Amino acid sequence: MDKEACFSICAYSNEKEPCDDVHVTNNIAAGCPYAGFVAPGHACGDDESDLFKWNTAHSTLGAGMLIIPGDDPSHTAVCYEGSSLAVYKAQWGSIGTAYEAAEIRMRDVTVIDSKDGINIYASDKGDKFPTNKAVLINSHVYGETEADDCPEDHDCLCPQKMGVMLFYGQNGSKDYHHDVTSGYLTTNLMSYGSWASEAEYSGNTFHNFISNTTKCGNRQTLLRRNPDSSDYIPVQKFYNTIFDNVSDEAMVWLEDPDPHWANAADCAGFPCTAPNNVVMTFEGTSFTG
Amino acid sequence: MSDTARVSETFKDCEFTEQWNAWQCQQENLGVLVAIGDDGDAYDRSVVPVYFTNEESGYTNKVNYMMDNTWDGFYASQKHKSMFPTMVQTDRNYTVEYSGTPFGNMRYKLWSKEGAFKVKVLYWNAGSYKVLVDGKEVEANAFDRNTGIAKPVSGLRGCGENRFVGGTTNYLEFWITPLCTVQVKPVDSIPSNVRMDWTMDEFYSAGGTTSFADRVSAALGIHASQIKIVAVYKGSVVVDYLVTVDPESTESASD
Repeated sequence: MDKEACFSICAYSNEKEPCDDVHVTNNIAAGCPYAGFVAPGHACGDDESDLFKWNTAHSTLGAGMLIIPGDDPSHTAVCYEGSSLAVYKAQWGSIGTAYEAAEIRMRDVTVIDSKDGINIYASDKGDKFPTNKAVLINSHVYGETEADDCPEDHDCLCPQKMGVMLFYGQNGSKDYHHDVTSGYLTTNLMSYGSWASEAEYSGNTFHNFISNTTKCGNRQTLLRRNPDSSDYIPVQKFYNTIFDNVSDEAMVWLEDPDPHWANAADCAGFPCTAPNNVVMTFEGTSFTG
Repeated sequence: MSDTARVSETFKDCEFTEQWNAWQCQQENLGVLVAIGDDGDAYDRSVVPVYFTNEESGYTNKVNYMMDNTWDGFYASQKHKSMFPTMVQTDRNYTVEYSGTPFGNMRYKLWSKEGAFKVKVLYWNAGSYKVLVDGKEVEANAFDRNTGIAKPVSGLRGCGENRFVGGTTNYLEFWITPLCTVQVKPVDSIPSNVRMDWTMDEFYSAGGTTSFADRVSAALGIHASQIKIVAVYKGSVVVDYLVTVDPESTESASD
């Protein structure tokens, strides 16, 4: 068994669990191997919910937070949301989802200095939803900080870092926990892209991506695709974005398709072509710093 | 947007940024056109590569199907979702050429804020297709006696305006607008051809395609709406037409 989250809230059985009268607020999780928190979101726009709010995860080997749908059927059929959360120095996705829902939103979240960035993937099994949308609203994403990725007098990690791993929808979903010793996180995509996939970023501020290299010389990028995104990356729509102290060179990196995808078990004759067809649109953008 | 050979450099007002491995564009007519096969064999039959082209600009986008992500024991399943996203400049027309027989049932959607264009889908097989938007059939353009085929798609009738041209070539053209889903469905039909010892003027002065459809349908004992004229051309007069099923009596066998 590999259920190693520091906090597993209404999630341990890998199925939607009743979550009545549960309030998880103002907690800190650190040093967790799989995730700081695996916890349910709330219905979109429900500002009153304190089921899971004002929590912080940091210095995790796995994800900072995995926000799952709650047991309210509307969470999957319509929309669910994680809000008022913070993550810093997460090794895998800082805040991640790969769960079934017509729309998944993260709102008022702060993500600082992470390896894989925030990655919101909405699952639509069977392409049944009219939309399959991943959304980031009113949030702050920071680049590398002064703090090292190691305790004093220890060797430091030197990962590539990113702010946002481009969002999209997919047909498959992930278990909340993985019952195997080599479980993959939400960033490891092993299913087709969904027909109704959408990605939207509204009113967000990106801070302090001052260079496209980290202190130890690896790549740092604000916006970057998932290395496994072979199938479909929907139009990435950015509205009212503020780039605060973000250097031009660190803004984006769009990798070419992986040539190793050209084999009989993956894409056959030539690599799959989603990375060749990424479009990002920006409206109402401003720059400071 | 991505740096894709024979695609990115054809878009206007765009510059390559090496540090991004991407292009930055100062224009609003960018988007993604997505096509998906809806037939029962859409995960098993390959029609790739799919080529999206625009002759005027030199745009040629070679698109693959989706990755096989499932395993059947030791072996890969060899199943690929036949869905083809392609980035486009949305004020240009595009031709879609599948490397295998296109799926009968298909959907196309344009994800963009601005623009609209004509999509021309080449078919290797004779057939008849109808176009639906929001589940409602969009009547094909009327026949044009001057050209001997249906009138061109102009966009004036909005998303889904369409024509199918058969005979020596087979292609479907339709108009697509932002966020509109165009659904293509096959119509069961028998392709037919008649050569008549007439001049074109005599043919049209005798009622042209309308009278022809009336007479053939009367001879067959079917409704005139089941006769679809796809082309009229000289030789003396040659009419390519389809005898379609009565939509009231049966559903398409391909559904």
